This record gives sequence, structure tokens and C-alpha cells, in this order.
Amino acid sequence: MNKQNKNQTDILFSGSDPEEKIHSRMVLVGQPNSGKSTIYNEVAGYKSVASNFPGATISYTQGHVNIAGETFDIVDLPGIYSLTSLDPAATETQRFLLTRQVDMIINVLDASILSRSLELTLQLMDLEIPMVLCLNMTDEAERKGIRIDIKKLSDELGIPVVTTVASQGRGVDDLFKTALNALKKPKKAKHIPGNRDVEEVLEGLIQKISDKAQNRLQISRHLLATKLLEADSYFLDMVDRGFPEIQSDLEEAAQTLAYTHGKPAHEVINAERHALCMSLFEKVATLHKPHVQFKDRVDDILMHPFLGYLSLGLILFIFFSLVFAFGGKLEAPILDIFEKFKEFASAPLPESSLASILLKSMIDGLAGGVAIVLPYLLPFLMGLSILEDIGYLPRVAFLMDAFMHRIGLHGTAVIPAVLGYGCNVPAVLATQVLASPRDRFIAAMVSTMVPCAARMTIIFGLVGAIFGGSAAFAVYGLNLFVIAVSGAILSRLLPEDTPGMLLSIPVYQFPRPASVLKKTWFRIKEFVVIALPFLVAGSLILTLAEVYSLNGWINHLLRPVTWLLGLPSEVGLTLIFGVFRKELSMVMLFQALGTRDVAAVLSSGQIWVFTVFVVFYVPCVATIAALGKQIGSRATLKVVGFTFFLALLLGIAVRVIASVLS
Amino acid sequence: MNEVRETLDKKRAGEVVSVLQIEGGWDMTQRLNQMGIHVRDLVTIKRNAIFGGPVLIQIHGTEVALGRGMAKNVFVETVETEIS
Repeated sequence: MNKQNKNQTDILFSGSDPEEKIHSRMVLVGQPNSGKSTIYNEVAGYKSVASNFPGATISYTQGHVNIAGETFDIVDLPGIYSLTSLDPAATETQRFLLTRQVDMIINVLDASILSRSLELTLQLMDLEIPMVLCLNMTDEAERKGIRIDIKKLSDELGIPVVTTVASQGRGVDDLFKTALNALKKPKKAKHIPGNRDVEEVLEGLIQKISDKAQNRLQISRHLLATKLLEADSYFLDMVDRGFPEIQSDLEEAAQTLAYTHGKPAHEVINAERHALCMSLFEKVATLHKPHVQFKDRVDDILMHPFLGYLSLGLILFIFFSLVFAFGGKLEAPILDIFEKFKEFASAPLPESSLASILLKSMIDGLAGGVAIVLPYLLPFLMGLSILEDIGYLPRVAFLMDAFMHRIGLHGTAVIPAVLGYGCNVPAVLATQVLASPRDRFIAAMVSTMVPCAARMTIIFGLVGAIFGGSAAFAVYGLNLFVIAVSGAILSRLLPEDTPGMLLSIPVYQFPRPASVLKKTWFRIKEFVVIALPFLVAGSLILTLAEVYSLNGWINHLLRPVTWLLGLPSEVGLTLIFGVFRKELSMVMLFQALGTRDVAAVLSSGQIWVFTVFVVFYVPCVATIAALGKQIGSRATLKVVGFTFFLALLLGIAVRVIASVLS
Repeated sequence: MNEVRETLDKKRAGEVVSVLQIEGGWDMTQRLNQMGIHVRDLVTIKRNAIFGGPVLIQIHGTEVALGRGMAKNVFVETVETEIS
């Protein structure tokens, strides 16, 4: 068993230790975008992030559900297309199903894609765990003209089938009641036999799996035999370590299949399963005339070779304009409130006492986060959640695929990159949707270079406030250009051998306010919980450093960098703080210079150099942690080193240009 | 058998094609299979993007975007051409 390996992956697990659990555990499994997370949220509260993008759930979420007075653990696993280890999300789900205690599988299917979805169902049935089939999105299936005979499907598979429209909460109660009943009186799923010759080979291999081996591996014989013939690395490794005797029998069986069918065994198994699904589909579904709706025509514009890009530009322009407008409106009044609060709170304390100075700096730190970053981050994340729930992001991936290839990536990588404009941490984590480690590395590197909301406040708070909005957009332009060039260089260094984009394009959905709000909250919580304490602590440390004259020492240490950039040495300390949280560099710059009127102290050239350097240099601590988790510590070190030298180079370049121009 | 072998990326919007063969080994076959693309399946081309972008197909009632590199591995023959 590879239970001993679980610690490596448990970082991603938000659930508690399996050994501690006392309740029965129900697990939601299904293909990406089938509505698992929506069902989960419906019963366990909004802890899982539902979205209209395939592969949105990258780590699993665990909660509790109460059915008829009984409490159950419920787990929402990352969406998988099949029980094959092709990407990290799939491996995660596979490992969970095979090594953790699972008492009931709730297999969620998009009823409008029944035939494709059944392929996973058949594999899950092989796990021999009690199971309920949840046909979700039956409204969408109906609209597409697909009618499904529930009773027949249930009879064919030998497991209960429930229909739901989770987005409207329809049928979810019924689903869990059925699951409870099925748990009490488990029925064995039927084995649906395929072609005789394939069945014979499978049966032959199953016979060779000894009781001893089966006990050791704790896995159904049929599943093991099938997956071995499919040449799935997860199962091959398992056998390598625990049951090498089967090797020669496996080779023989695979050769027999390949010989009789004229193609590799894994293709035979897949084709067999596909044929079974198609015939099941034909037995249980009838096709009627689909209702063509407005949403079927939308893609004529949004994915059009010309109008599509025009719409994309327009949508992004409106999106960012709204974010800036909203953030700008809120920033000043909130800062005012904090200023008033600071005066009020420090009034009883003696002027220039240590307590007063510390209190003021604490409030300054809080203000930096709440008044400067949050007003932009909030509308950004909300807007992105709306675009995500509508289902627009996969269309963006489609449109941007050709361009992303220029920087060595493909369309799917557009999602992490766009998320990066809000916060780099979810962006780095979102690189999990990419299949190859090389793609994940480049995408993670690119994502960390995207100016997040915190860096946006620096761009707009310094360059934007002093030189105007177009100057701020010029920084964004420069950033895009540098990303493109870095991506192009990286892709030369790591030649493309990746399969490219393969993305299911979901049907448009109306965003549900509850889902959008909860999702925004879910993502903003990370900022509030992790960033705000850093801000306050950072502010305090900086003040203390000042009080005890430590900043001189730190500034001295960083003198080589500030000297190269032509910046005053007091700036050194702010750069350190920028590593904790990006927005700190500006807040701390004000503090280090003793004024908000930066233009009075620094020259225009220096302001440009500072902004450009801060935008590019070293990801923040939280992002570095996310990188470590996602791409490993060595690769993270590379990203940190690369961005630092890149920022230094760009800073020097800006300094030279500025001195030539003035 | 000496006809020109055509791949999915060469097809235009509106064509309905039958998948003849998927190349590219285990990984490629598995990936395409799990998205519902199998040999002998019927595929409708919805869009073929410009600038070497992806191909958008309709298969088993859903839409899938294939990057050009992927589409090049799918050998097909045209079954009918819709007038759109």
C-alpha cells in the first residue's frame, strides 16, 4: 500500500486525519464541470469553489452533511475524466479512492454529456464500493433534446440513479436520502460484460491475481487487471512494488489482446469501454429536437476569429475599468477613516511615546491592506468569479491558444495568468490544470510575473498618481512585453514536447449570486487571513527597526542593490518588506521617506526605477510558498533568482533611459 | 489505402468527419479518449481558429477545443459537409 506516501500529498488535503474519523464517508466523484462542487456546497456550506471551468477543484474539500439525523463526512474530489493517472488532479483523486476509507461514492454526471460521462462510471463501478449515480444538469440535457430512462439506466448498472439540477438545488435532498439508503443496504453494481475475447483475456489475468496479492494491494481484481492492461503507471508501480510475479502473465495477456485486435492492449480496453458506454447510452437515452437558445448563438460572436478578439479586448477593458473605478472610489474615503481612527486611538497616549508610535504604525499597516489593496482585489475577484461562472474563461483559452504558443505555453495556461492579476497565490495553484511539469513550471513563472492587485496599487499609487493613468498602463504594457520575451526564452531553453491544449468548452450558465459571492469570499479570505497579519507585523517591525536604528544596518546591507538602481539607501528596507507583501513596499516607502508625497523626495527617474523593480523582483512570501508546493523548491529557487536578476536588469535599464531623457 | 491521410487540423468548420486513427502513443490516446474522442467516432468541426490556433469540435453532444498539436495526431476522413 502506499499509505506511507500520503504525507507528500497531504499538504493539499484540507481534511482531517483519516484515522481519526468516526463518521461514514461519502465521496463526490465525477468528470470536471459536472457540478460536484455545487452539490457539495448545497449540503455542506460554501467551502468548495464551484466554477464553470474544467478542472477547477485542484485539492479536495471535506465537510459534514446531516441526513436524517445522522452525520456523514463528505468529500469533494477534483474532477477526473477517467480513472487514469494523466495529471496531478486525476492522480490525487485516484489515490484518494484507492487508499483512503470511502464508504459511498456519489458519481456526479453531466446528463447532457451522458455517453462520455459513463466511461468514468464504469471504471468507478470496478472499485466495488457502494455507489449512487447522480444525473445532474438534467435541464440542460432536456434542452439538448436528450431524454434518459432513469429506471432502465439503474437496472442496467445495478445501482440507484437520481436526477438533479444542482444549480437550482433540485433533487439534492433526494440524492442524499438515496445515498443513505444505499449505504444501509449496499447493492453490488452489475458487471457489464464486453466482447467475449476481451473478457476471456481479462478473466485469465484476474485468475492470476492471488488472494495474497489482493489482500496486500486492497483493490478489486477486475480493476487491477483492467488498469494493468491499460498500462496505467499508478497501477504498474503498485504491482512493481507489491506483486511483481504477475509481470509475465500481464505481458502475455497484453500481447494476446494486441495480436487479436491489431492495436495496443490499452487501446483495446479503451475501445471496449467506449463501445459499452455507447450501447448503454443507446439503450437508455432517446434523442429529440434540441431547443436552440440565445446562448447557443453567443459563441458565433465570442469565439469568432475577428469579433471574438474584439469582444475579448472590450470585456477585459470594461472589466479592468470597473475594477479601477470601484477601487479608486473607495480607497481615499477608507484611508480617511483610518487617519481619523489613528488620531482618535492615539489621542489618550502621550505624543511620541513608544506605545503611540507602535499603535499608529499598526493602524498604518492595517490601512495599507484594507484601504489600498482590498478595494481593488474585491471587485477583481468578484468580476473574475462572474466570468468564470458564466463559462467565459475556456473561451478565452481558445482565443489565446495561438498566442500562448509563442511563449511556449498553450491556451489552458491563460487561466492562471489571468488569475495572477488578482493574486499570484491562486494563480500558481491553478497551474495544476496543466498536464506536463514543464508547462506548470513556465506557467508558474509567468504567473508570478503578472502584477497582482497589490502590485497594481503600487503601479497606480506611484507612477499612476504622479505621471497619470497612461503611464500606469505603460507599466502594464512593459510587463506584458517582458513576460512574452521571458516566456519565449524559457520555451527555447525547455523545448516544447507537450501535448498542447485539450479543453472541454462548457455551456454558458447564468452566474448565481450566492456562488459568486461565496467564491469571492473564499479567495479573499486568503488575503485577509494571511496578508493582513503580515501587513500589521511588517509595519510594526519597520517602526521598531527605526526606533532602535536597525534600519541603517539593513539599508547598508542592501546598498549594492539600491546603489545599482540609483535609489536612496533608505529604500533598501522597503524592498525587504515587499517580499513579505508587495503592497508593503509602497506603504513602507511612504514610511521610510517620511512622506506620502514621494515626488518631493525622489526624482521622476527614481520613481520609475522603483516601480519597475518592485513589479518584477522576487514573488512575495505567500507566492513562494505556493510555488514550493506546486513546482518544488529547486524550481522555486530558479524563479526567485530569475525574477530578481530580471528586475535588477530592468531597473538599471530604466535608470539609464531616464538619465538619458532628462 | 493510398489516399492522402488527412488530419483534424486540416478540416473546415461544418465538416463532419469520422476518426480513423489516433497517433502519438499512450498519453495522447488516453487524453483524447477521455475527452470522448475515439476511433470511429463522428466529429463535427465547429471552428478552426486562425493563427494556428485550436480546432473546436462537437462530439457526443459537447464541445472540445483541441490545440493544433493535438489535432495533428487525429487522422480523419470527411463523411459529409454541412452547408452552414
